[in-house]
Amino acid sequence: MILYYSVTVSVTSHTKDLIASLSHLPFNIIPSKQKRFDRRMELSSGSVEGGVPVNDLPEECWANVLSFTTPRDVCRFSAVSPIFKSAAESDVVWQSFLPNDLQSFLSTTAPDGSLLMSSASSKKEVYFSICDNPIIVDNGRKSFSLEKKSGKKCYMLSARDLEITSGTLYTGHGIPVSDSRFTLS
Amino acid sequence: MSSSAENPTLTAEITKPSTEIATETAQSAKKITLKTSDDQIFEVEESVAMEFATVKSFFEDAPSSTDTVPLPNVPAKPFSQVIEFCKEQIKFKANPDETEKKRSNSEFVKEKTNEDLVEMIPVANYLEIKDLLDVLNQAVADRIQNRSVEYVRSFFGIDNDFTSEEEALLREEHAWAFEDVDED
Repeated sequence: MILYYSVTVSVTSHTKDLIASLSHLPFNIIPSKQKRFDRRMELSSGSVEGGVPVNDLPEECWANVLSFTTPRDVCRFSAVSPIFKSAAESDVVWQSFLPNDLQSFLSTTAPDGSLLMSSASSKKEVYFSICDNPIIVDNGRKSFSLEKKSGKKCYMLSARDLEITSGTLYTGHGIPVSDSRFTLS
Repeated sequence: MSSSAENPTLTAEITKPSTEIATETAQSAKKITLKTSDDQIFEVEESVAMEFATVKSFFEDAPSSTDTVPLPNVPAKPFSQVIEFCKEQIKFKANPDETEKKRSNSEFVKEKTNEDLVEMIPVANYLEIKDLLDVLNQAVADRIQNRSVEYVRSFFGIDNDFTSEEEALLREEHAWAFEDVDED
């Protein structure tokens, strides 16, 4: 704090305006503007040559970097440092690995999936739940999941959903299997 | 790194009436003075400075200010690279070309060292230059993908504050994510 104020004294009254304006900026990463403002003031005091040391970067900065990696990288990098660990748990990161249209996709095709979205405590939980427990969609004709390492969408088609257009060998009748995950008939 | 103000008589066309030269020069050469944490003075064109959301909001609150704007969190070295980026961005604002912009952005990060990129992140974050942050985050992510935990620590210069027990536990919890990583 001392370092910062020694600067403000030597400049002008507009410095105060700048400080005041910083706390009124619109911002969508940290919920509390005041918290962010305080954080900046804190950073400006403890830094070497006035720069922000990397170890002092706020969690959301790391979360933004992690969003550009893969789910597998994020799980591994949670062991880098405590701030990486909390960034690696954040909704910002896991939201980026979920399909963009997931909410509307699930609400129209799979009531169970919708329930998952509203009951899960975090986006990470949603992610791993969809990886481990495929959701039946499209009137019971397909099952949907995410590939754990990459977050890629996976569909498993039911036999009924297959269309064989060439040849006559495989056309014909399906045999209902009572323990199939897909809808019968 | 500060660029000195250009001599008006050299840039203006001499055939124009003198009053017109004066106003035109004043408009095109409007510069904003910024002072970095290591006391370097930068004079940048207004259009470039307005790319910094933090500085822009300062001038929205005090439109007539002619004072030097202090940037207490911004050292000169990464700042000069940030200015370089923003100058390029402005060209695409006037003349949008997404393909060319992508090419220019990847060119910008390609020639930067790991250290350059890491130093620019806090500056872009402080000055709230969203386009640059996205470009930097993507570039950094590309360079650490599939790398080991140790590599990432040294890449960013991060202290490991975990006890060895805590770290072992995290590695065990996500064992599947530690297989087949690239050699350091």
